[in-house]
Amino acid sequence: MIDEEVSAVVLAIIVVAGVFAFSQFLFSKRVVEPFSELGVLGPKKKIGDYPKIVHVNEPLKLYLYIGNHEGKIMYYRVYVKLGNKSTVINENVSANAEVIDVFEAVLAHNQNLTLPINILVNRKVRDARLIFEMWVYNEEIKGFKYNGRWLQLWLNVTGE
Amino acid sequence: MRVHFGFVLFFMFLFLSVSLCNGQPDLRSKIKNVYVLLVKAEKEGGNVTAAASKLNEALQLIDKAEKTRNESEKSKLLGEADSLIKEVELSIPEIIEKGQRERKMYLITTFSSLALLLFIGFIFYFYGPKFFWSLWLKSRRKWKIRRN
Repeated sequence: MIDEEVSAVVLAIIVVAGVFAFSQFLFSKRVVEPFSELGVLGPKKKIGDYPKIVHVNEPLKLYLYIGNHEGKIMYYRVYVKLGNKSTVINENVSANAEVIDVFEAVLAHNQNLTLPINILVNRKVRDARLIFEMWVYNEEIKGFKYNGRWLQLWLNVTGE
Repeated sequence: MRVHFGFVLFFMFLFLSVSLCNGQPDLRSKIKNVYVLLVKAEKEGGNVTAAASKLNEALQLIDKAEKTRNESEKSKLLGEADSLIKEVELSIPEIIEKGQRERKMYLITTFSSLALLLFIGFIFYFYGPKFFWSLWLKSRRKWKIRRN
């Protein structure tokens, strides 16, 4: 014979396990940690082999990678800016530097895009920072807002 | 009067040439509007992956058009982008309807499976022991009890 207390404990364990399993099933589609990806790949479409020296007005061939894991559709804008050693940029402040190119993409959740890009710098610069900033479209302000994602390539732009 | 008419003609020409040459800002604002509608459609449960891909394609076409110097190529690319945007815009009501239908089905399936699980649990709780012992007795029906 099974003791009544034992059967009550077994039943309680089954109920708790059932509730846990059901809650996992209910929240399986929820994105716990939403994030966006921004990356720059070298001319061979790989991480690395980034050019360090380019000539003025010579196309700098790179690949821009954008990934959406925000759990919703997103409209991205990536600004390519030309900064220098003293340019200030962080997660909260975008760089106050010359915009040399802009790229846009609309991506659904879990979609990504690798875009071939050609950047042209039209003047000689030493220790230049090619800054890539990610902005996202905000429906409430009806404009793009800096989302804190950025990266940079150090460059020397020499004469033709 | 003739001077005024000339002015009107000049401004009309200026306006037309500006709107024809700079079709891109107009298309970009169209994309923004369609994007906002897609956000709403997604909130309604719609799957916007295919629509997002099309909008993205339209954006790349606009980008290509902005960088080309060939006017006929430019207008062709912008025309393609425009038709893609229109296609997405027209598909939005269908996306919303499908999303709402799928969400309803998901809710029905989820709660009916929960109800079924509860029902099975209660059945087992109330009739399980009786069923178990009847099986136990059945399996030992031919047993004989012998005194040692």
